[in-house]
Formats: sequence, structure tokens, C-alpha cells
Amino acid sequence: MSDATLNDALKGEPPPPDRPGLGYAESRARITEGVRRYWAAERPARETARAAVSAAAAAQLGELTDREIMIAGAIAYWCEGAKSKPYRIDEQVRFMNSDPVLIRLFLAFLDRAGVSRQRLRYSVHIHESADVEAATRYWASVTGAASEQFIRPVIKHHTPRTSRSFRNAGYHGCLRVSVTKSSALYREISGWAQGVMAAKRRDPK
Amino acid sequence: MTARTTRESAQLRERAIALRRAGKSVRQIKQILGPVGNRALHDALRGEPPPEWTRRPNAKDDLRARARELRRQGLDYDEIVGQLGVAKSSVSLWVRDLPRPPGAASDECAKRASERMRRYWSAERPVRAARRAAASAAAAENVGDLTGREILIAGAVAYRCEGARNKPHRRVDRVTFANSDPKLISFFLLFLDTAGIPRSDLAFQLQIHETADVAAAIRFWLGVTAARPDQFRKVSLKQGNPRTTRKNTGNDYHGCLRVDVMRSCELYRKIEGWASAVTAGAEAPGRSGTVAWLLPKNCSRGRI
Repeated sequence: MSDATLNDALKGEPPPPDRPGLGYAESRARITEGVRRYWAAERPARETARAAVSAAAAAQLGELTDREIMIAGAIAYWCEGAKSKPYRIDEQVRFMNSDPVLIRLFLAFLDRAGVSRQRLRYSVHIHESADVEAATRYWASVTGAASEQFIRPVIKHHTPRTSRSFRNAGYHGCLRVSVTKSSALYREISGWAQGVMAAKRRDPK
Repeated sequence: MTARTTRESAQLRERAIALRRAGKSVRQIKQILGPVGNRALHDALRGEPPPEWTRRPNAKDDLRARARELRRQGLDYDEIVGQLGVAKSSVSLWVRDLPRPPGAASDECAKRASERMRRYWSAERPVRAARRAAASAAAAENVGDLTGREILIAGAVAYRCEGARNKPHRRVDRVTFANSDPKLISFFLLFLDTAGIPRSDLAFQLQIHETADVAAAIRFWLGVTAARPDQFRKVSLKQGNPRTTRKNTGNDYHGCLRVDVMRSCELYRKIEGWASAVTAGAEAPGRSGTVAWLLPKNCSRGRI
């Protein structure tokens, strides 16, 4: 007889009297407690093991050459930067992201490309419900820029019933980095990115 | 005082105009009619020219008459100023009620100017587009082929930008990469090859608007990825808005391709490590300044 049939047949019957030993509720509680204890010890161990994989991969890279920085920056720009379109030819270098790691990579890339930090303009894009001043301080500390390089922030409308999961304290909005007088740089970056994407793997020696 | 009715106003106008035509001045008319305000009287007399004897001479009556004569002959303001030696604003005051001479019609000038502009840009636009493309192509040529290490660096950065990432509220260590740019997808596949992932571990999904040509898009992405058709999962269709303002709706629109790597938590963690190491390595103090090898040799860096 299958469980399902038995379940149907016994519907409405009172549960059987506890057998000698642990009762049902007691054994449930002990199982829950055992699982909790297991994961309390296991979770940090697994996090460490995961982080170790990332750290080993990071250590494998070590220092980057100029060429590698330019390749990384060009690809990052192609993914996240403003691109000229056939219907809107616009060749200003503008990079916008919420990820401080990518913003820092792009700034390091501009340093290597010989772009003076004075040519950069920053603008914070953020929801009206968030703390604009705190976000500006945060991005100033990420970029190391002076406050007068921050132009007027762009404030987004807040939807009270939003399902965005970014509403917490870790939300700093996005930062947009624009480079003045940058059409020549734009053409170079787009060329490097095209070159990287079209490249073949050089035969390992 | 109560306002005049329409009938009273009409009577006032009738009597005032009769007096005007009899050669009376405004002052004389007021004396004859009795109590009437300046405004009511001027309203009543509107459109009726004053009698000749009330005119007083002005300093430049002769110049004014000549200016009007010249304007009727079709001269513009600057030409009249040149002939009479008066201020342009005076000329304007004197002749602005005359019809505009046909030759100086501004819409005609504007039309000619825009036609010149159109001709200029239809020749100039392709020239500049070619120069822009040449500048990019020269930069692209300087990149050349990549070492395995360079591919890993660029691929990890691309993943950090476009790939699915772990969030505090959603813990998933899995490699998923979606993009509409076929070149970027091809490069990501090269990255996976370099990272030692067999192509058979990949699954693809087309994400596209229902209004697009789905079958053509699948053929397109099969061509880009060189994958087997059974590696493509069920298409994810987006609802089309008939009043859309999207620009990528033409024949070049192929939707997005999502690439999933099976059993990829190990690779995901490596990618995270590589990407943060790239930023750390790029920020490490090193030579700063223009990188010589990347500058295109045969194209101008200036305005195009």
C-alpha cells in the first residue's frame, strides 16, 4: 500500500499514542537543533573555502602590465560605458556604475591612458528616498575626488511599492564619470575593445 | 459714473466723427460734447485721421518721406540707412507699416541656408564617419592577439560587468552571462575555452521580443556560438509594446543571448577573484602616463 493511500484511509483519525522514548514534537525539535548546530559550524567553513578559491585565483594574477590594464579598462568601458549609436553619434567618454570595483578600475585605466584627473566630472545618480549627501561622501572616498568635481546629482523618482532589493544601507546609487574633451579617447577605447573582442589566443610558447 | 451702454457709445462715436470731419481738434470736440473722458473720446475717434491743420512739422519729415519712398522701391533697412544717414531704428519706426519687399523674405533665406547645410553635411558626414572608423580601426589593430592570461583578465572584467552576480539577498555561485553584442558573446566563449570549460557544458537561451523574427535570431546566435541546436533552451519572449521608442527593432535586432555554464560554482569564485585582482593590480603604483604601444601610429588624435 502506498503512503498516499494510507494517508487517505487514516484522514481524521487521531494521531497514535507516543511510543516509548521520544515524542514526535521532541524529535522534531532535536532534529531542528541538530541541523542548526551543523550549519552554524559549516557555513563559515564553506564561506572560507569559497573565499579561498577566489583568493587563490586573485593571487595567480599578481601585478598587471600596462597592456593588461588597458585591455581590462577597454572591455569594462565597452560593457558599461556610453556608446555612440548610428542614430545618436556621441563620442564622449562616460562610464557609469554602482560597483566601486569597476569605478576604481576605470579610474586606474584613465590614469594609465594619460588622462588627468582634472578632466573628470562625477555625478551621483540615486533615488530620492536615499541619502544623497552620504552617497556623495561615499563616492568621493572611492574616487578620491574633490567635492567640486561632483556636478549636480541626478535624482530618480522613488516608487513606494518597489521590489528593488537595493533599499538597504549599502545602497549608494550609481556614479557617472565623464571625461571632458574626450572624443579622441572614445575612438581609441572603442578600437581597443573591438580589438580585444576580435582577438584570437596567441599560441602558448 | 456708470459706463456707457453700447448704444450710447455708438452715438458718441457718430457725433465725434462728424465733428472731426468738420475739422475740429480733439480739444474742441471735448468742449462741444461736454463731459467725456480722453479714453472714451480716443476710442470713439479710432481709425479717423486728424485734420491737416492740426499736424505740426517734425525735424526729419523730408527724410521720413524719402525713407518711405525708398522702402516702397524695395530697399532694405541697411540700404536706406546708407542713403539717408539716419539711424536704423528711425528707419524702422518710419517704414515698418509698409509691406516687406519680396526679395528679402526671411523664409526664403532660411530655406536656402538649410539647403546649403544639407548639401554640406551629406558630403561631410561620410568623410567624418570614415575618419572616426579609421581612428578606431587603427587602435584595434594595435591590440593584436592575446595571451591566455590577457584573455582571463578581460573575460573576468566582462563578467563583472555583464554576468550574474551573487547578492547578499540571493546567494548563487553560478556563471551566467547575457548580452546582445555578438562580439562580446564570442569573446566570452573564448574566455570559457581559455578557462578550460568544455563547450558541451554550456546552455544557451535566447531572450527576445515577441514581435521580432525569433527563428532568424536563433539562426543568428547558432552561427555566433557554433553550438548544437539542442544546447538552446526554450526561448524567453518579452512582450512587445506597439508604441515602443526602442531603436533596436530593425533587422539588426537579434535579442539577447544568455550563456549558462553547468557545474560552475568553482569557476564563478575564480572569476570573482580575478576581477577584484584586476582592479587591485591596476591601482598598484606603477608608471603613469600615456601608454606608447596603444597609440595609433597613423591617425590623428585631434578633432575629426
